[in-house]
Amino acid sequence: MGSPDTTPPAFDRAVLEALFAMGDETLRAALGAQLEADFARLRAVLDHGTPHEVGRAAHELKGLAATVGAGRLAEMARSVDAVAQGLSPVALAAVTAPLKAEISAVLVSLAEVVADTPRP
Amino acid sequence: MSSKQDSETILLVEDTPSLQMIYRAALMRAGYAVECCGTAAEGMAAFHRLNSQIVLLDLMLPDRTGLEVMEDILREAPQTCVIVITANGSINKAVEMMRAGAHEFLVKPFDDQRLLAAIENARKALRHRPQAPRDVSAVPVLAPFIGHSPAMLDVYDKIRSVARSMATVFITGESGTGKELCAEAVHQTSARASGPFVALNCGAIPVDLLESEVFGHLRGSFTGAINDKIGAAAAADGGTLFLDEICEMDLNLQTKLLRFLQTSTITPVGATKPRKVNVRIICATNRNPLEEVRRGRFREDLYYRLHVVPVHLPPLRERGEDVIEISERLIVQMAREEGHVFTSLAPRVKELFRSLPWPGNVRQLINVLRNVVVLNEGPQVTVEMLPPDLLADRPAPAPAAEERPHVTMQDLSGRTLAQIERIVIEDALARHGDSVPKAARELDVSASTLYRKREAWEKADRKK
Repeated sequence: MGSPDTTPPAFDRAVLEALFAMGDETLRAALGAQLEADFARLRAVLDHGTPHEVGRAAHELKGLAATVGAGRLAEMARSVDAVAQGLSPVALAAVTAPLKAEISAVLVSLAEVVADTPRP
Repeated sequence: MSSKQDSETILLVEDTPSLQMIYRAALMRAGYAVECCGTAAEGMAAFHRLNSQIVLLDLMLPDRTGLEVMEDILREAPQTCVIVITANGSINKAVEMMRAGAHEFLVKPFDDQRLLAAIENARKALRHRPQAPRDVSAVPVLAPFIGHSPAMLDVYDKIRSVARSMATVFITGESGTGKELCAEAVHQTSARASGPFVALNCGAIPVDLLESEVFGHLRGSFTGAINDKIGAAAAADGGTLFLDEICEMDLNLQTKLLRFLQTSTITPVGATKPRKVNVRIICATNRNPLEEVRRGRFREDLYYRLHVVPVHLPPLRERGEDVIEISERLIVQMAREEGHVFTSLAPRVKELFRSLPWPGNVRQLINVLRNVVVLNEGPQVTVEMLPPDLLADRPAPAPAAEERPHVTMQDLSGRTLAQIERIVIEDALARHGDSVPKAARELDVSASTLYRKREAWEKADRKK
């Protein structure tokens, strides 16, 4: 039997729920969908972007993640933002891999939070 | 053409759609109309259409930088309040934006309360602004300053450019260069001019009392607190709080000041609930603040929080002909007050004034002129009228500190201990150009001790 999973959640749910609570059902649905689209868009840039584009995506990700309570992702994006533009493609792929994995984790958690958030 | 209603629409320029949605929801829930744009080009087009008075502007946009967009906006409509949104880690850029005229900056992540407070601050600033912008550039000198030297014209420009902003101003300069005057000028040219201006000398107040002086206290919160006391921060609500000699502030209190700057709330000594205040901070020191940070006497995070717009006041000896302009203006004014008639300075006096080092700066010059006016009739200031100790300040090769004439044992013999103390302190002050903090450091006492003693001596002298 393995040890219990102690990885902290990708989101601070309270932050995200407070954001959803700013509006009605329409806003909640729209914001959930937009967050999904933005995280997916930024992950795609990390996959295929030039170092300059990756740097900009990490910068954007840093602000977005921090605002919605994805603290670990914000911190990882901050690190990539600081170094991306000076890296070779190989090094860039290495530093962005954990970031992309964390975005995936955030997307999973986001879907759960959206599904669980009580309707107003 | 835009209507009043259009101009009250908040323009939000942010390229991340989710963030646009979040900020828009927070603003609309508070009752504001919002127009959202994702690029600089769209933002400028909307600005031209709406003539928005408040613009929320992301620092990094896909087509241009936020700084370029803000410069265009302020060139076209200098009264606009631009609130800059920036990601954590871009503080230097945010500081650059503040220097370029931004009203305030918000660091991501920020909650809706912080966002709404920034909008409310901007709206208040707009209400207090004159309807038609004044052409201040046509009047190079900023009253009550006197002097047209290039160094001072730069200072006037800087004061005017920070007028539209909420940015913290950090004034440095030697003792006597006019730091409080500068702080008052910043306040008077700002949208807060109708609010209070509260000045507090951090070096003049004993460490134990400073917290209560800044944040106030409740009755019974400590021995001697017989009544509630409103602190300087609360007294300055809606206006400006000037913290002079900020580097003299105790490290513990620096932590509380930092919290105050971050949260805009104060908790009086003995209180349990914080209270929100709306204060612009201006601070000053005659020390090198960065050196104080390096020596561990000033918190680095507080330094960066305060050091947003630095204003350095040049010493009088570096202000060229200002020394003559100031003297000629003040001598007439002082003569009128004293019932004497003075109209000019003799050529030899001008020559001497230009060559003196003026260690006490404008304050020293004012004392010299007052001395001349009180003891003489006029109409022209001659060298013979000047205090003899001023002539000793001629720029002969400066002796090393150890070689300067010090108080000797002979000067002290037959005196009481209190008299000796006064002689020693006054000697230290004279050697440091009347700088209390510098003299206090040499004598290893707190500056507040010297301020108190000096005040007591002045009182005693007046009674004699």
